Amino acid sequence: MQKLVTFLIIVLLSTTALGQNEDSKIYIDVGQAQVKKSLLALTPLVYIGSQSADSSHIRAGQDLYQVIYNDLNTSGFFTFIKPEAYLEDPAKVGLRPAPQTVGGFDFNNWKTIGAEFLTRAAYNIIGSDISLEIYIYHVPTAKLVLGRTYRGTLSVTRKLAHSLANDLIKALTGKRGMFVSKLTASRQDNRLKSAKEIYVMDWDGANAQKISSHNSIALSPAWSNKGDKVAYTAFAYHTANKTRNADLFVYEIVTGKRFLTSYRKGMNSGAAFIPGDQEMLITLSMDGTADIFRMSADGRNLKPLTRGPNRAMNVEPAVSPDGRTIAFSSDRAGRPHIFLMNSDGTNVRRLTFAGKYNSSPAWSPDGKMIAFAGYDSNHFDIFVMNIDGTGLKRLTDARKPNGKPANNESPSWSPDGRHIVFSSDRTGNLQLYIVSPDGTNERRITNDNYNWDKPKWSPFLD
Amino acid sequence: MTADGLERTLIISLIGHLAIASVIFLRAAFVPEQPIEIRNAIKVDIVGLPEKMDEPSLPLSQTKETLATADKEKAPLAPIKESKVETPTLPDPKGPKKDLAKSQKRALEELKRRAALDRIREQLAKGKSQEPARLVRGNQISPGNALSGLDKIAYDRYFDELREKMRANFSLPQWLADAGYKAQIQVLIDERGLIVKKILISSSGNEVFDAKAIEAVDASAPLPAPPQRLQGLLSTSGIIFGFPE
Repeated sequence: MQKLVTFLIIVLLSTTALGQNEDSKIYIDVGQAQVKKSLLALTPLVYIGSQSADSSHIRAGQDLYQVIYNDLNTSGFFTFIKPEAYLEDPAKVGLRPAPQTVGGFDFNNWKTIGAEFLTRAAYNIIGSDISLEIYIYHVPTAKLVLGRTYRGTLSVTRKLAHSLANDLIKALTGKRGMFVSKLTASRQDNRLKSAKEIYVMDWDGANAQKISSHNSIALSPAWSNKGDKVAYTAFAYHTANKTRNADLFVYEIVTGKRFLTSYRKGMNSGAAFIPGDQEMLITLSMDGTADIFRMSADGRNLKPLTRGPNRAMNVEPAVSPDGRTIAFSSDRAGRPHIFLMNSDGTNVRRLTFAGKYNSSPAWSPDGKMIAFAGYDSNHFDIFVMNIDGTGLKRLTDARKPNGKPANNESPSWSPDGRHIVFSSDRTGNLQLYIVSPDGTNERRITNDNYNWDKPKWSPFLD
Repeated sequence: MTADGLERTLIISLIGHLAIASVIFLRAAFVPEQPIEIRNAIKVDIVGLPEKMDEPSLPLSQTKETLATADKEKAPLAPIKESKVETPTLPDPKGPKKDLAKSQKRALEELKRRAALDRIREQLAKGKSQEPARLVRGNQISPGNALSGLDKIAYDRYFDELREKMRANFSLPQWLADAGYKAQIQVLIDERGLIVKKILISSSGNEVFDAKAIEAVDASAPLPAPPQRLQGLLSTSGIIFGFPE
């Protein structure tokens, strides 16, 4: 009984103590940190094959290194330490640190030169297979950030490198990288200069493959949300009435099959898959004016979402990542501007008021921003803004060789939201470029004499 | 009540208290109390209850007021009396020059006297209005934690200085900034602005990020000296810095 009373008293006291309110504390939000790039020692890849390395082996190693270098450079996270600054020869030390590994590298040699990260990698080629063993260390803490072996055929060497870059970004930030994603765009044809075909390529412009073959103008490609299909519009020849019409096709990446999905009279363009890929938006002009419709992915069950007003044009629908809002461009206010509406076509509201011609809205993957091409004085530039129309920011500002302002158009976000691809005529031809959403880190993707237009970035494909 | 009955009651009470204790434990563990941002808190001035006052000892102000009133009542008498004495008389034909000089001198003195009396009267009136009330509990407003007017401006300025100093020293590599980590550090500051103690009260889960946040605190020392009224609070409860939010 006494024990019980004692215990009760203890409980009461502890309850009283817990019940006391904490003193109110003063709280200060320091805000976002100043950011800087990390110094990275990306040491050359060491060939560890039992056979002596021939030129093809060396070239494969160089390809791997170049792709890794380009990916990590594009990430914006790193500044690379020049090999001349290294205090030890990476070729003469092991991939793992000393003293745990005999003959390993010495962390102090990398700390001394201020390296935050160090990569140590080796590759081997046996027949048509390549393997890459890589270790990435955080030098100040002497900890392994990523240690992994990648294997594949020589034909997927670049993909191995992209996968490695993705893994590193994931290990550092916890978020997925975009380096295995792809682009699709319309490109001038090799032989028939007036023709345009649809191409799919790696995010860095490599491995471009033609997926359409209409010998006419094919344009405005759009990825499905799973990344397994590309819808595009082509001026296809209708043998029955011997005319061409801007029809909508859907191309399946894996099977290579192509489906004629919408061939209503007039324009069938500007397709955008709705999340889930069961439905898509499309711009049709069968009633005389261009309006936005919703239809099932096979082209049936058409539902109008816009109608005018006053025969106004409503085009370029873009669905928000949650599928609830549609951004589009319309000249219902006189000049073309960006508008928003609910996914059922209700609650239309105007988003842009500045500029003379705003078009090609594109949602950021987090659904918080919209990029678009805006024309204010005498050329188009890429802009971003919040979805309430605030925070308008110009991302591009380039000139052509003749000194005149270049046109920068057709923005599309990378799946990780860290980059925006667009087309620009700054070199004289339309080429593809990427830029960060803050307007920095601009890079050229295609580097040829073709005209590339209407690029769209795929979702994550890994 | 029998021993069994008492025991049963105690057990029920024990269970009840244990239930309350577990609710409080769970609440404290899973719903951490949000720190109150003092700048946006509702502030209430607390007025203490009055003290009992002894009848004979009148408030100082009242005594003085009475005295001042008495002086005021007496003061006008003297000049009136004197003014009767000093009433101008006809000039003496025998010594007009001498009398004139005397009367001028008297008139001048009279004017000076009146001016002096007026000054005394004014001073008394002024003294009455300026006399501070006797400080007793009940007619004094507690300083409390109210932040308004000049105090609020001073505190806001101080907090802004702290934030700016801390932010200037908060630097991250891009990859860490992109990872979206968050940490909170409680910092105790003495009256000179020196950091007495720093506690990582909420880790980001990433040791490099935590180290960068602590680096920012260390690099910001010494902090600006806090306003006097904040000194006690900052040296005991301190300030929680969010890196960020």
